[in-house]
Amino acid sequence: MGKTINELYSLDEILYKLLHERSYRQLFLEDKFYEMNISEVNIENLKTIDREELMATAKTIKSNIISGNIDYNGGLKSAYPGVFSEFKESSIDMDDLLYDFIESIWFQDYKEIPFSGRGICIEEAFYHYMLSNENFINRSPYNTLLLQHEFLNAIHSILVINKNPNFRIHSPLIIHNRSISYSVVKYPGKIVSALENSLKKFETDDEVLYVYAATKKHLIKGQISELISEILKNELLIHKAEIRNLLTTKFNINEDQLNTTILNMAKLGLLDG
Amino acid sequence: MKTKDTIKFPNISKKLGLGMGMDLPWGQEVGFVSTNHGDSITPKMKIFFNSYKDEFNYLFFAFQPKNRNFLKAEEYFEGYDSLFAEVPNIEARAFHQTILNMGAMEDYQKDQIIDFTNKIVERYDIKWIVEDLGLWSIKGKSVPFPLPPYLTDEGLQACIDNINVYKEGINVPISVEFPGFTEGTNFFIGSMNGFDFFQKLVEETNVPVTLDIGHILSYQWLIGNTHEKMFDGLEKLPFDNCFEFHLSGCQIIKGKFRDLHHGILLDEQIDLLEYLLPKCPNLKAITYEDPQYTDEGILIPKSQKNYQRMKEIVSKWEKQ
Repeated sequence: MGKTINELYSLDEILYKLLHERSYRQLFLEDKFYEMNISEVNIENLKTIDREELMATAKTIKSNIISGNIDYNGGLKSAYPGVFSEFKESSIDMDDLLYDFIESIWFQDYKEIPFSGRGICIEEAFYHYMLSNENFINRSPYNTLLLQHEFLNAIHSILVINKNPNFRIHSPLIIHNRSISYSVVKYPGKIVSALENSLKKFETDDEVLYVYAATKKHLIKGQISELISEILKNELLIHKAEIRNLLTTKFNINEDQLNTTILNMAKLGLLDG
Repeated sequence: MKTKDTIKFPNISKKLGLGMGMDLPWGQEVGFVSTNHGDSITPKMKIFFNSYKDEFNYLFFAFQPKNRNFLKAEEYFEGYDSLFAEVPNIEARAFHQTILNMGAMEDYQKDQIIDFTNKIVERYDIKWIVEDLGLWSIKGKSVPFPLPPYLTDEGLQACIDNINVYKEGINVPISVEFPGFTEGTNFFIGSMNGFDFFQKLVEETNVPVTLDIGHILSYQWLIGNTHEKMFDGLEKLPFDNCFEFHLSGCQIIKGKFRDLHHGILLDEQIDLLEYLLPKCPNLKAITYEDPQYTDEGILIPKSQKNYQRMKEIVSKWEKQ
């Protein structure tokens, strides 16, 4: 059944796809115009494109995504150093992976420039894309954690600098309260030892809580107690007697101990002073 | 077609002569830096201004985003203040936008861009806005180098519509720059002749225009009008609307014309400058874009010869 004119791609949609979707670009390069879902008029328009220059531009888009460009975007390689090291040690073809990422729904949802709608940032787009990459995830039992760690480290670093970000955040791991953005996750103790290069080694795989927080001035990350996690969750109501009673009872501490913890958190910037 | 007497030129009464245009990214050797002491231009730029500020009568700089926050002009004031504090002698200031995206066919929000631009205009008494006609981003993603607009009827209409919105919203004239067609960095879509396209756009909008001499040559090279043929077809350009010229470092590599912004002007650019000068009765400004200089703030040796030639030609024209 033939397509109606309304279903055909417009010229700007075609250009977007040629620049960002390798499989679509390939149809064009192989003159398979009738598989591109475009009008006769646009078939003629596309014939004016210099194919070498199109491919070079697509390649530059890919390079800029990895290594950053001269603007304000640092590039995925600096945000995900561990993940990229894994690629080197594995049989994963980095070029293939990146072209596939650029063609993914997650990349589509990424907006560098917010005037045509607010999207997610590229670091988050890459995180979600990689989570669905079975080759990478199944390669090591720790790859999911590595990916999550580098994502949370990157996103909270970005949020320290960008208090009024022009992108939205999709992941429920990132929590915003009145004072800060933060994530609290559970990691096996051995992983925390590795992350912190800590003298205090966790010999078991018992899970411990780990926080990443974009405070007003700094990125804070490290192991935290359950009490601190609860205070962060209840930040808005921490002065209410009902919450305080719940916390002192749950953690078997007195009011002074609770106040000291709150004060220390405020000094670090994890709570408003 | 609108009458020529309605061209809304920048409020500049006499020839400005030679000016300087600079792309100033954040965090690079040349541009702006954010430190614990605040935002400012880099030390290398200060040294350069110290040596050359008397050679230029006006200055424009190109917008580069400082961060990933929502666009807020106030975040840029400290850096921009430091820039203009270094060149108190200049007669006029202009702002090269990079987010107007006048070639785009998609819908996008322009209010924020207009509001930001107007705040910069007001604070720094900016006389005109300039941006290359083309696609700077597509569906929220920037392209590595600005692409020419879609050279189709639909693409032309999109440019006209976008320009009309900006003309209405921005408090000073926008000088629309002839797009770059530099090989090795971009390509175009559509079969309309680039000069015809630009002429029709100007007929419909009657905006002042900026002719980037490298961009014109890049188009000529692309359509085969090289060497002695490089003046062919130029009569189609809207000379009466021309307010400004741009000259930036270009190079011809393996027969392809590259707009590299490396500071070194080609002989062909100087020749075209001389050819175009008498044809543009409303020309007021000639901008040398992105000078390249040493750590000591001296223009790189390879750029000196044609920089001097350009200066002499501009000086002669200024006195006419």
